[in-house]
Amino acid sequence: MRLIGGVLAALAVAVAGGAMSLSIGSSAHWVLFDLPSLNTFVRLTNQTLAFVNERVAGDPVPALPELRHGVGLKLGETLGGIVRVGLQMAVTSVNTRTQGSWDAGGTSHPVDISLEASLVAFSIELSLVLIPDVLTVGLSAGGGASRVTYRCAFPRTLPTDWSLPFLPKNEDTTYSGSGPLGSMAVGLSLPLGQGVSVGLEAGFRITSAWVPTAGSAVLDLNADGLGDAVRFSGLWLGVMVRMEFNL
Amino acid sequence: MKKTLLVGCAFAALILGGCTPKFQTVPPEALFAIRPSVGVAPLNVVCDGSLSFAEKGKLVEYIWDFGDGTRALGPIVSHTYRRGGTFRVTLEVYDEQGLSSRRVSQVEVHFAPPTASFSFAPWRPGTGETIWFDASTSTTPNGDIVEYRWSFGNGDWDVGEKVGYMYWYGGAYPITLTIVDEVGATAQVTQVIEVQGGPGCYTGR
Repeated sequence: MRLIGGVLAALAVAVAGGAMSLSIGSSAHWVLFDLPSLNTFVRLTNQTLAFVNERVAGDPVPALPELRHGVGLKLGETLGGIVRVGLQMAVTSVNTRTQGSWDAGGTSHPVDISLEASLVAFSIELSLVLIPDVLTVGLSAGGGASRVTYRCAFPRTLPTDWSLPFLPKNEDTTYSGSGPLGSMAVGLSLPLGQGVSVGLEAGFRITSAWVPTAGSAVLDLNADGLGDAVRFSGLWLGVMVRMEFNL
Repeated sequence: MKKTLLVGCAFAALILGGCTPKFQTVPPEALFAIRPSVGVAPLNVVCDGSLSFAEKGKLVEYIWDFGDGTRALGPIVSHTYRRGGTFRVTLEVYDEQGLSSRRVSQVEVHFAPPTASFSFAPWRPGTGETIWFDASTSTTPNGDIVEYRWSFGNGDWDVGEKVGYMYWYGGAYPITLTIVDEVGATAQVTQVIEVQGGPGCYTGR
């Protein structure tokens, strides 16, 4: 209790006592994703596609790329001096898709699978300016809402005499979920004058794992009877632009 | 300062350890193909489990359960179903870390139908004459025939592989043989028999 009081007091002194400024920043990110359950679905799908491709003459259906990295945007606003507090909103997204067709016996068997995962995060940010206008480290905590959109058209009868217990489900559904998250980031910027600076930002987001749902349906692309938990933890690297206004 | 550094390192390790796939235990995925999945007994089925994969390392064990009390080991196996029914085929795979997963499919084996046939003697019987019916030429791929039921076309019936019957009135009678094998599959055949002579007339043969 005494520790929390001390931190709050230090924060108040730092925010109020220093040279106050309002900083508005935005950044575009390249984001690494860690979505093992969705990538397990991707691998199961690719094994199925490869198995059928080997047994059907003609053009193969391309493999579905794994969900490894995507893009993101962040907007933030902080107030303070050396210690700054503020709010930030971040949007990240990753998607994958494959399309093709198997032609056998004069019949076409079209395949079209797409999967998109996105996260919108709102957090409270606490940052510390280590070198004014140049180096900042920050921590944030808040909540996030995710959407997993799955669209699939896959033939129910394969153009081969083999049958497989796993076939991607035919559906067009958006699953959603939410949970707490936090992040830490380091920003290195180059002042351009007039309070404007540009720079690089690297950070790591940690989120809890949650199972998205659509009504009463649970995301279960692997068809193993268990929900597919998704977690949007991962590193990001971004380019940022920041404007600072002295108050 | 040391304490802060230690706490910082522990926090970083916790984040990296908990959030990167490198340190997570991800079970393998069992995936297989079957050919054919529907057919008539005896049905030879080939099961290819080489589609299974492990996220880390490799798979070390493939255990098949064919749902009829038999099991097999290996990535690609075959099995013959000798009787009809719907069977659950289960593949369970283990990776080097001892993690496992399983996937289930179904094989539908239809009973092969029996074949009913019979002969009778004499070929042109008369009234009052015993006619012998013989169903021993009937066959079934499902073990033994457990029931032979005869219908003599006049409301009378009898059971047995070989039966005798006597008509008291001349005319054409449809003789129907129905057989049932040990798995309950049935077959039926009908032949028309011409009985010579009038009512109660003994033809002397």
